[in-house]
Amino acid sequence: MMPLPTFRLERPATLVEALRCLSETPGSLPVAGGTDLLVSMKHGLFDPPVLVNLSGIEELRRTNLAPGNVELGAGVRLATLRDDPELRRGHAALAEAAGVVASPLLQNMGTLGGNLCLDTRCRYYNQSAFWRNSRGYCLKRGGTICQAAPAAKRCFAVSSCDTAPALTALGAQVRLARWEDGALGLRELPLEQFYVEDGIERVTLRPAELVSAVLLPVTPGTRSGFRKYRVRDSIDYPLASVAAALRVEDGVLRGVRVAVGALASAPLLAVETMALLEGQPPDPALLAEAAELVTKGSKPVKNQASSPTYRRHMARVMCRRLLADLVA
Amino acid sequence: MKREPRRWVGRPLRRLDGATKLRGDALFTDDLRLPGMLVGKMLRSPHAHARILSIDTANAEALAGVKAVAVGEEMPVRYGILPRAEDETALAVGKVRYVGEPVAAVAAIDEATALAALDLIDVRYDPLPAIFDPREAMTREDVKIHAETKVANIERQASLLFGDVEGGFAAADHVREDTFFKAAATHAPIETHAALAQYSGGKLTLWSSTQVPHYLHRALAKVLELPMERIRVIKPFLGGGFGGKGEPFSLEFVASHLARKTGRPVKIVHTREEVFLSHRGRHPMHMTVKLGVKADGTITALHFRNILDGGCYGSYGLVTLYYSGQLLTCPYVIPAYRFDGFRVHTNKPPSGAQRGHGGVSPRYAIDVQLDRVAEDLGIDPLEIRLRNAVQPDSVTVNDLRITSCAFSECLEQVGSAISWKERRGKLPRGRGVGMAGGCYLSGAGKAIYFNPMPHSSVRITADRGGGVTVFSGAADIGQGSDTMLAVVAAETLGIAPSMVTVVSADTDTTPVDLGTYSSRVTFMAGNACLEAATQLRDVLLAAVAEELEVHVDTLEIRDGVIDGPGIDADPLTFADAIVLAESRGGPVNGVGGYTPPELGGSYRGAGVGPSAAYSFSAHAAEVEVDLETGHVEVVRLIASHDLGVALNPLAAEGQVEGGASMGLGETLMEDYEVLEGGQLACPSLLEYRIPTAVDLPDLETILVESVDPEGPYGAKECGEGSVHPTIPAVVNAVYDAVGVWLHEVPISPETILALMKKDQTRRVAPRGATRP
Ligand SMILES: Cc1cc2nc3c(=O)[nH]c(=O)nc-3n(C[C@H](O)[C@H](O)[C@H](O)COP(=O)(O)OP(=O)(O)OC[C@H]3O[C@@H](n4cnc5c(N)ncnc54)[C@H](O)[C@@H]3O)c2cc1C
Ligand code: SF4
Repeated sequence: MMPLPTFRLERPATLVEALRCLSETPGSLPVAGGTDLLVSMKHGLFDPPVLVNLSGIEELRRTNLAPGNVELGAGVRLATLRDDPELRRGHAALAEAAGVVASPLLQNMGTLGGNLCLDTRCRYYNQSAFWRNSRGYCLKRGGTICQAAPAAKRCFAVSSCDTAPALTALGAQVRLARWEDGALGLRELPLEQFYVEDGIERVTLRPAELVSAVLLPVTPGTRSGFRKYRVRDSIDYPLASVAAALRVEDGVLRGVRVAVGALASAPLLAVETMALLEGQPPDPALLAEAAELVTKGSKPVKNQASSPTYRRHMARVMCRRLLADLVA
Repeated sequence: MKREPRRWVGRPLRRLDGATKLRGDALFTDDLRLPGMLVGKMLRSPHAHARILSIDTANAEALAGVKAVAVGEEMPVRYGILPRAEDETALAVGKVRYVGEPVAAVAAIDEATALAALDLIDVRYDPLPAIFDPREAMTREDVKIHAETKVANIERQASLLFGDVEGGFAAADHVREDTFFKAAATHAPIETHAALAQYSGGKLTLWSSTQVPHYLHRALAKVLELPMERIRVIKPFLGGGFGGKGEPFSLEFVASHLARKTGRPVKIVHTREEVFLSHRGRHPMHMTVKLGVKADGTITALHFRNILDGGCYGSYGLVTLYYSGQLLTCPYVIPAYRFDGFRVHTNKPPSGAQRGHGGVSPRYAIDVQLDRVAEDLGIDPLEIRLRNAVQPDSVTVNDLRITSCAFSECLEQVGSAISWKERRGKLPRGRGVGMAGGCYLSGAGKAIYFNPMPHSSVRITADRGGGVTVFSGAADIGQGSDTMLAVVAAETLGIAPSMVTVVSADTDTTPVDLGTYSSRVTFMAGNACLEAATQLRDVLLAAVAEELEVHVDTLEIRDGVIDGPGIDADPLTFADAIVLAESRGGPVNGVGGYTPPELGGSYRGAGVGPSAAYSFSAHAAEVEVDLETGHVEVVRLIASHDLGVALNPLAAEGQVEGGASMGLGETLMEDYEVLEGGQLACPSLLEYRIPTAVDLPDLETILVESVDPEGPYGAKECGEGSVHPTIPAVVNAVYDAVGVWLHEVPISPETILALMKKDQTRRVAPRGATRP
């Protein structure tokens, strides 16, 4: 087994305590389920002096599913999201996405906040220290070039968190919390603004800031779903994913939101697809045409299994099938 | 042949060590702790090919907590599993040949100190050009991975010619030639390699996760320059090998050397990445198949060419090379056969032996080519197989002796299980069925090094409580050979398997067995155990006969009770018999050994391929291909296996299912890919994707019994042959589903899509349509 580097573990009981811990120790990192961060620490990608364990914080595990005001604490386990009957009914895309993250064992450990803040992934990055030393380092950690696309000046590491495209399609907001000048500072952002399409920057979190909750709008009649392509169904990161939410009102599509995952460094809203469908009757030919547009904004590079071309193809096929299922 | 009814043989029996393992009581190598034990770690090369200019260990040695540092020059003696290819050293000497090759090692008081010490070792390299494609390596005279190879980097060329090949092709009505590629795969056992060495009182004891304690014993003696009697090798519980622990490994020498150097026990446990780097998995094979047949499908000639990517060391490669050619004359009758093969060095981790050794990839090529030929001629694939099926008591063109054989029955059984006649070629587009055959040896006829001793020996002792202990050098690596030995002993002695204790794989206390490879243990150690148990039974019955004054032939042991004339009134138990026998002169023992008969031809290479018995197998697969994504789902796999006799059907089914699941993984997902630069693309179980139970289809096993005349109670192998037919069965099913042939494995949905597109264009073209 690969050993973890040494660190001090803080176990705050409240959100405020956690935020203070983080702001007091530069370089400290929050850890929730640890299913992403600890693996990366073993690989030598992070060496924080202090880990602030969020799993003892009661308020982060709170959920409020009251109609019209769905609020999910960042500490909620993916397994809870997967199994919640209320979510399965009203926000199926999220429950479906949570249910295909890794495997049931990891869904028991992994949290919503950890999933949203999952580091971007790349086959040249998610490797041991030995491996990266042999290969040569890259822009994302320790190097000056991108190993996947040496001509490029940016990092294409892939946004691989399954709940993010689902929540984007559902129009979710994140609530961010921070300890500022001796007081708790909160802000709320639509998920699209939380992510940055850059493999290194990836999120707009400020230092010592935490995701505390996810807020979901509730629009009666909304149907949503999530589809994921992976090589091995039992356990695998996504190679492409699609989430969609829509309503059928008076024979036409309303509130259409479609997002693709794992084809860029952030989940992408498929605006062309959405525009084509909004207000139109759900005609199969139109759905197919709209699905063709779903990969318009994405240009993945070869830094995962499977080829970029095929991953985009899969997104289009999954999109058409998902839309067809949702309007059926 | 029908087999006789038996008391224990043929009854499903749970493995004897199952509960121990489930409870967590079983001690694997990494569970062992000794007082004063140090942790060993190895420094590995970041270069694929480089000269080592210097190694400075001074800073590492100066670190508090470091007890010793080792470099290659301290153990310069070369070793290798094959005496003809001893080309490795425990730590690199002078040069490194792959990314990850061990260069130096430390022993320290804990893991953190050991790892810190590795960082302090300063190695200067002079990088050399590296080659990763064997076809390139074959011609690159300017880059020599080993100075000894005569032509470029060709380690060995093998050519075999049997019968009139030219004449065979001339007499054929149809000849078809195609190329196939099968990528590398690796074993991925759950337990990573581990070794614990203790050097005390001038004697070395090594606990190691090895499949081959005897070969390891010899190699340790050689490399450490210690006499064999001062070395003891013990194999504790072992968590899977599949060939990946089938030869001596660097960590075993290094742990031993560091223990001797420090006088303290040293343990080295590989990380998962180190297991991937140690490799010795399936050779990538670039294959060309030329097959000639008569209009009725009868095979007239086969020419098989193969380029094997050996990686940078010999390992089992010469045997792999010959197996890849020799095993193709079965299970279809090939009247004329030519094989040309090359094993070539590249700057990758060494390829070696993996479950189904040598034959799996060629089997894919041949069984797909057979379907292609059948398709060309409009013959049913099952029909062409039956027509060419090898028959019992025959000899192949390359002098392999076939005795028991139920290959035709294997084919027929899977055919009827999948409703072949009603469904092949008749399912809606996207759905298809496919079939393939296979055969494998039940133990290599020749040992790896020449010696006159039996390949397996067993000693059984009896204690007055009524229990017996079987001592065997055979390594149970999770496949269940200890339980197999208990069944054979129990059946022979007339007692319950629960009365049998098995002590195995300890070179001080158990008689020699060559090890767990080439599917030899059930056949050979089983036979040795049968002989030892028979001898013990004879000793016991002789004592009883003398006591009762009856003829020994009238006695038998049944369910732990001696049965015979005149003892109905006052039954004698098995324990009583032991007491009687003991009183005649001390401990009661039985010994037995198994040596294969002289087999095979006298040509160069004839030693690889012959076996006292062959297993036969046939698989039928049903697939669903997504026409828009190219995704293949294997919905059903039916595996038949002629294993002679199922000594323990529960264990046998497990073996066949395990083989088929390995085959499925290799067909659909597993690719041991090396990036340009020499790094492994997927050195983890996350991205080197082996199927989990969730990913597997319904596996149905059909055990076919041909009752082998020489196997223990008629048994043959079932652990490795069961991988062979899986790949071609699935590939052939994909053809039935969507009309495309896959000439590269693992198959990719992307390739299937591209081929379907091409096929579509071809079909609408005016003259192209060859398929209805
Ligand atoms: C084998 C394997 C397969 C996987 N497959 C998938 C997959 O298919 N899909 C997928 O989406 N994920 C996958 N994962 C990743 C991971 O399991 C999940 O994303 C999980 O939800 C992460 O949650 P966590 O609580 O364990 O995160 P942690 O590891 O605890 O944290 C992840 C990151 O988020 C930060 N963080 C955690 N909580 C917060 C917070 N409240 N505010 C701000 N930052 C925070 C941490 O500092 C860290 O940088 C896989 C992991 C493994 C080991
Ligand atoms: S995309 Fe390029 S820069 Fe980003 S992690 Fe991969 S190799 Fe590094």
